[in-house]
Amino acid sequence: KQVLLSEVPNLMPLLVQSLSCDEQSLKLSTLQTMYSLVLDAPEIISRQVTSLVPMLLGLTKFQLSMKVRMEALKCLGALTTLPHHVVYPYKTKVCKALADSVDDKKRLVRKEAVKCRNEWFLLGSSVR
Amino acid sequence: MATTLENANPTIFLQKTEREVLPDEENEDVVDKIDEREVFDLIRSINDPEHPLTLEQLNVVEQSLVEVDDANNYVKVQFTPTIPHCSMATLIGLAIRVQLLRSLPERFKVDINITPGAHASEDAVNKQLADKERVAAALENTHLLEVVNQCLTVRH
Repeated sequence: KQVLLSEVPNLMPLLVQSLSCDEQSLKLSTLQTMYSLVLDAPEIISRQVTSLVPMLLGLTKFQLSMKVRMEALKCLGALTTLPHHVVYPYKTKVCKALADSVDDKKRLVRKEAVKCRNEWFLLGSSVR
Repeated sequence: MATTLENANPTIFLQKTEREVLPDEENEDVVDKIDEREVFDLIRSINDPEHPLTLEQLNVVEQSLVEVDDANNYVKVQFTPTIPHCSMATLIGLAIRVQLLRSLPERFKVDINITPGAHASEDAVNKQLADKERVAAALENTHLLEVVNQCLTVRH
Protein backbone atom coordinates (compact mmCIF):
# COMPACT_ATOMS: atom_id res chain seq x y z
CA LYS A 1 0.00 0.00 0.00
CA GLN A 2 2.86 2.37 0.86
CA VAL A 3 4.37 1.66 -2.54
CA LEU A 4 1.05 2.26 -4.22
CA LEU A 5 0.49 5.54 -2.39
CA SER A 6 3.87 6.88 -3.48
CA GLU A 7 2.97 6.15 -7.10
CA VAL A 8 -0.48 7.69 -6.94
CA PRO A 9 0.53 11.18 -8.15
CA ASN A 10 1.75 9.64 -11.41
CA LEU A 11 -1.30 7.42 -11.74
CA MET A 12 -3.87 10.10 -11.02
CA PRO A 13 -4.23 11.44 -14.60
CA LEU A 14 -4.76 7.89 -15.81
CA LEU A 15 -7.36 7.20 -13.15
CA VAL A 16 -9.26 10.38 -13.96
CA GLN A 17 -9.11 9.50 -17.63
CA SER A 18 -10.41 5.97 -17.11
CA LEU A 19 -13.53 7.44 -15.52
CA SER A 20 -14.52 8.68 -18.97
CA CYS A 21 -13.75 5.35 -20.61
CA ASP A 22 -16.63 3.35 -22.09
CA GLU A 23 -15.90 0.11 -20.25
CA GLN A 24 -18.39 -0.22 -17.38
CA SER A 25 -16.32 -2.57 -15.24
CA LEU A 26 -13.33 -0.25 -15.54
CA LYS A 27 -15.48 2.70 -14.46
CA LEU A 28 -16.71 0.74 -11.48
CA SER A 29 -13.31 -0.41 -10.26
CA THR A 30 -11.79 3.05 -10.80
CA LEU A 31 -14.56 4.55 -8.70
CA GLN A 32 -13.85 2.04 -5.95
CA THR A 33 -10.14 2.87 -6.03
CA MET A 34 -10.96 6.57 -6.05
CA TYR A 35 -13.16 6.14 -3.00
CA SER A 36 -10.40 4.55 -0.94
CA LEU A 37 -7.88 7.12 -2.19
CA VAL A 38 -10.06 9.99 -0.96
CA LEU A 39 -9.69 8.55 2.53
CA ASP A 40 -6.06 7.40 2.23
CA ALA A 41 -4.46 10.15 0.17
CA PRO A 42 -6.63 13.25 0.63
CA GLU A 43 -3.86 15.70 -0.32
CA ILE A 44 -3.39 14.08 -3.72
CA ILE A 45 -7.11 13.94 -4.43
CA SER A 46 -7.46 17.58 -3.35
CA ARG A 47 -5.38 18.65 -6.33
CA GLN A 48 -7.77 16.90 -8.71
CA VAL A 49 -11.06 18.13 -7.29
CA THR A 50 -11.61 20.56 -10.19
CA SER A 51 -11.76 17.71 -12.67
CA LEU A 52 -13.18 15.09 -10.32
CA VAL A 53 -16.36 16.85 -9.22
CA PRO A 54 -17.85 17.40 -12.71
CA MET A 55 -16.78 13.90 -13.70
CA LEU A 56 -18.44 12.25 -10.70
CA LEU A 57 -21.55 14.38 -11.14
CA GLY A 58 -21.74 13.14 -14.71
CA LEU A 59 -21.46 9.54 -13.56
CA THR A 60 -24.28 9.93 -11.04
CA LYS A 61 -26.51 10.14 -14.12
CA PHE A 62 -25.00 7.10 -15.84
CA GLN A 63 -28.21 5.36 -16.90
CA LEU A 64 -26.68 2.03 -17.98
CA SER A 65 -25.64 0.83 -14.56
CA MET A 66 -27.07 1.56 -11.13
CA LYS A 67 -23.84 0.28 -9.54
CA VAL A 68 -21.84 2.99 -11.28
CA ARG A 69 -24.32 5.63 -10.13
CA MET A 70 -24.15 4.38 -6.54
CA GLU A 71 -20.37 4.23 -6.51
CA ALA A 72 -20.09 7.72 -7.99
CA LEU A 73 -22.39 9.04 -5.26
CA LYS A 74 -20.30 7.32 -2.59
CA CYS A 75 -17.14 8.93 -3.96
CA LEU A 76 -18.79 12.30 -4.16
CA GLY A 77 -19.93 11.95 -0.55
CA ALA A 78 -16.42 11.02 0.56
CA LEU A 79 -15.09 14.22 -1.02
CA THR A 80 -16.74 16.16 1.80
CA THR A 81 -14.01 14.85 4.13
CA LEU A 82 -11.38 16.82 2.18
CA PRO A 83 -10.11 20.14 3.57
CA HIS A 84 -12.91 22.67 3.76
CA HIS A 85 -11.46 25.29 1.40
CA VAL A 86 -11.01 22.69 -1.33
CA VAL A 87 -14.59 21.46 -1.48
CA TYR A 88 -16.74 24.31 -0.15
CA PRO A 89 -16.74 26.22 -3.48
CA TYR A 90 -18.58 23.28 -5.05
CA LYS A 91 -21.30 23.04 -2.42
CA THR A 92 -24.07 24.87 -4.29
CA LYS A 93 -23.27 23.18 -7.57
CA VAL A 94 -23.26 19.67 -6.10
CA CYS A 95 -26.39 20.15 -4.00
CA LYS A 96 -28.23 21.43 -7.04
CA ALA A 97 -26.99 18.66 -9.33
CA LEU A 98 -27.98 15.96 -6.84
CA ALA A 99 -31.59 17.11 -6.90
CA ASP A 100 -32.05 14.77 -9.87
CA SER A 101 -30.37 11.83 -8.16
CA VAL A 102 -32.72 11.85 -5.17
CA ASP A 103 -35.42 11.20 -7.78
CA ASP A 104 -33.58 8.24 -9.31
CA LYS A 105 -35.82 5.35 -10.37
CA LYS A 106 -33.91 2.89 -8.14
CA ARG A 107 -34.39 3.01 -4.39
CA LEU A 108 -30.82 1.94 -3.58
CA VAL A 109 -29.42 4.78 -5.68
CA ARG A 110 -31.77 7.26 -4.01
CA LYS A 111 -30.51 6.09 -0.64
CA GLU A 112 -26.89 6.86 -1.59
CA ALA A 113 -27.95 10.14 -3.18
CA VAL A 114 -29.72 11.26 0.00
CA LYS A 115 -26.70 10.38 2.13
CA CYS A 116 -24.33 12.17 -0.22
CA ARG A 117 -26.50 15.26 -0.67
CA ASN A 118 -27.02 15.66 3.07
CA GLU A 119 -23.27 15.49 3.66
CA TRP A 120 -22.79 18.30 1.15
CA PHE A 121 -25.56 20.38 2.74
CA LEU A 122 -23.78 20.07 6.08
CA LEU A 123 -20.56 21.54 4.65
CA GLY A 124 -19.78 24.84 6.26
CA SER A 125 -21.76 24.12 9.39
CA SER A 126 -19.93 23.50 12.64
CA VAL A 127 -21.45 20.07 13.25
CA ARG A 128 -18.91 18.35 11.08
CA MET B 1 -29.71 23.55 25.88
CA ALA B 2 -31.93 24.30 28.90
CA THR B 3 -30.59 23.15 32.25
CA THR B 4 -33.88 21.53 33.20
CA LEU B 5 -35.38 19.20 30.68
CA GLU B 6 -39.05 19.54 29.92
CA ASN B 7 -39.52 15.84 29.70
CA ALA B 8 -36.72 14.31 31.74
CA ASN B 9 -37.64 10.65 31.42
CA PRO B 10 -39.19 9.98 28.06
CA THR B 11 -40.46 6.54 27.14
CA ILE B 12 -38.15 4.85 24.67
CA PHE B 13 -39.62 2.78 21.90
CA LEU B 14 -38.14 -0.03 19.86
CA GLN B 15 -36.52 0.81 16.58
CA LYS B 16 -37.37 -0.80 13.29
CA THR B 17 -34.75 -2.93 11.58
CA GLU B 18 -33.12 -1.90 8.31
CA ARG B 19 -35.30 -2.31 5.29
CA GLU B 20 -34.65 -5.56 3.43
CA VAL B 21 -33.36 -5.29 -0.11
CA LEU B 22 -35.73 -7.05 -2.47
CA PRO B 23 -34.55 -8.63 -5.77
CA ASP B 24 -36.64 -6.08 -7.66
CA GLU B 25 -34.59 -3.27 -6.19
CA GLU B 26 -31.44 -4.71 -7.73
CA ASN B 27 -33.04 -5.09 -11.12
CA GLU B 28 -32.11 -2.12 -13.30
CA ASP B 29 -35.32 -2.14 -15.31
CA VAL B 30 -37.81 -1.99 -12.48
CA VAL B 31 -38.85 1.46 -11.30
CA ASP B 32 -39.05 1.68 -7.50
CA LYS B 33 -41.77 3.95 -6.25
CA ILE B 34 -41.23 6.18 -3.26
CA ASP B 35 -43.35 4.68 -0.49
CA GLU B 36 -44.22 5.31 3.16
CA ARG B 37 -41.33 3.26 4.46
CA GLU B 38 -38.82 5.17 2.36
CA VAL B 39 -40.00 8.55 3.64
CA PHE B 40 -40.11 7.19 7.17
CA ASP B 41 -36.51 6.02 6.78
CA LEU B 42 -35.54 9.59 5.89
CA ILE B 43 -36.88 11.06 9.11
CA ARG B 44 -36.59 8.30 11.68
CA SER B 45 -32.93 8.91 12.51
CA ILE B 46 -33.34 12.65 13.13
CA ASN B 47 -32.02 13.44 16.62
CA ASP B 48 -34.23 14.87 19.30
CA PRO B 49 -33.09 18.42 20.21
CA GLU B 50 -32.89 17.69 23.94
CA HIS B 51 -32.22 13.96 24.27
CA PRO B 52 -29.51 11.79 22.71
CA LEU B 53 -32.29 9.77 21.09
CA THR B 54 -33.85 9.63 17.65
CA LEU B 55 -37.40 10.73 16.83
CA GLU B 56 -38.22 7.10 16.13
CA GLN B 57 -37.08 6.00 19.59
CA LEU B 58 -39.32 8.62 21.16
CA ASN B 59 -42.21 7.64 18.91
CA VAL B 60 -42.41 11.22 17.66
CA VAL B 61 -42.56 9.88 14.12
CA GLU B 62 -44.24 6.63 13.12
CA GLN B 63 -44.52 4.94 9.78
CA SER B 64 -48.30 4.73 10.10
CA LEU B 65 -48.44 8.53 10.33
CA VAL B 66 -46.62 9.02 7.04
CA GLU B 67 -48.72 9.29 3.89
CA VAL B 68 -47.13 9.18 0.44
CA ASP B 69 -48.72 9.53 -2.98
CA ASP B 70 -45.88 9.19 -5.47
CA ALA B 71 -48.08 9.60 -8.55
CA ASN B 72 -49.55 12.87 -7.30
CA ASN B 73 -46.30 14.13 -5.76
CA TYR B 74 -47.71 14.45 -2.29
CA VAL B 75 -46.23 13.61 1.11
CA LYS B 76 -47.90 14.14 4.46
CA VAL B 77 -46.10 13.62 7.75
CA GLN B 78 -47.70 13.81 11.17
CA PHE B 79 -45.58 13.90 14.28
CA THR B 80 -46.44 13.55 17.96
CA PRO B 81 -44.51 15.69 20.50
CA THR B 82 -43.62 13.69 23.61
CA ILE B 83 -45.60 16.04 25.88
CA PRO B 84 -48.54 18.37 25.06
CA HIS B 85 -46.65 21.55 26.02
CA CYS B 86 -43.40 20.71 24.31
CA SER B 87 -41.68 23.95 23.34
CA MET B 88 -39.49 22.03 20.92
CA ALA B 89 -42.42 21.05 18.70
CA THR B 90 -41.75 23.76 16.11
CA LEU B 91 -38.05 22.95 16.06
CA ILE B 92 -38.73 19.24 15.58
CA GLY B 93 -41.17 20.03 12.79
CA LEU B 94 -38.62 22.34 11.20
CA ALA B 95 -35.95 19.63 11.36
CA ILE B 96 -38.32 17.19 9.65
CA ARG B 97 -39.11 19.79 7.00
CA VAL B 98 -35.47 20.55 6.28
CA GLN B 99 -34.57 16.88 6.11
CA LEU B 100 -37.34 16.23 3.59
CA LEU B 101 -36.44 19.39 1.68
CA ARG B 102 -32.92 18.06 1.25
CA SER B 103 -33.81 14.42 0.65
CA LEU B 104 -37.00 14.33 -1.39
CA PRO B 105 -37.28 15.27 -5.08
CA GLU B 106 -38.49 18.83 -5.61
CA ARG B 107 -41.69 17.63 -7.29
CA PHE B 108 -43.16 16.68 -3.91
CA LYS B 109 -45.47 18.88 -1.93
CA VAL B 110 -44.78 18.15 1.72
CA ASP B 111 -47.25 18.79 4.53
CA ILE B 112 -46.01 18.53 8.10
CA ASN B 113 -48.53 18.57 10.90
CA ILE B 114 -48.79 17.73 14.56
CA THR B 115 -50.93 14.66 15.21
CA PRO B 116 -54.40 16.08 15.97
CA GLY B 117 -54.86 16.56 19.70
CA ALA B 118 -51.22 15.96 20.60
CA HIS B 119 -50.18 19.52 21.37
CA ALA B 120 -51.61 22.55 23.16
CA SER B 121 -50.86 25.08 20.43
CA GLU B 122 -51.25 22.70 17.53
CA ASP B 123 -52.78 25.20 15.09
CA ALA B 124 -50.10 27.82 15.62
CA VAL B 125 -47.29 25.30 15.08
CA ASN B 126 -48.96 23.79 12.00
CA LYS B 127 -49.41 27.23 10.51
CA GLN B 128 -45.79 28.14 11.13
CA LEU B 129 -44.51 24.93 9.55
CA ALA B 130 -46.72 25.34 6.49
CA ASP B 131 -45.51 28.89 5.87
CA LYS B 132 -42.73 28.62 3.31
CA GLU B 133 -41.48 32.14 3.87
CA ARG B 134 -41.25 31.72 7.61
CA VAL B 135 -39.41 28.44 7.16
CA ALA B 136 -37.01 30.11 4.73
CA ALA B 137 -36.54 33.03 7.11
CA ALA B 138 -35.91 30.67 10.02
CA LEU B 139 -33.13 29.01 8.04
CA GLU B 140 -31.46 32.37 7.42
CA ASN B 141 -30.86 32.45 11.14
CA THR B 142 -27.42 30.85 11.47
CA HIS B 143 -27.91 29.82 15.07
CA LEU B 144 -31.18 28.09 14.31
CA LEU B 145 -29.69 26.44 11.24
CA GLU B 146 -26.89 25.05 13.40
CA VAL B 147 -29.39 23.55 15.81
CA VAL B 148 -31.33 22.01 12.93
CA ASN B 149 -28.12 20.66 11.38
CA GLN B 150 -27.25 19.11 14.70
CA CYS B 151 -30.56 17.26 14.68
CA LEU B 152 -29.86 16.07 11.15
CA THR B 153 -26.35 14.77 11.74
CA VAL B 154 -26.24 10.99 11.84
CA ARG B 155 -24.64 9.70 15.03
CA HIS B 156 -22.37 6.72 14.59
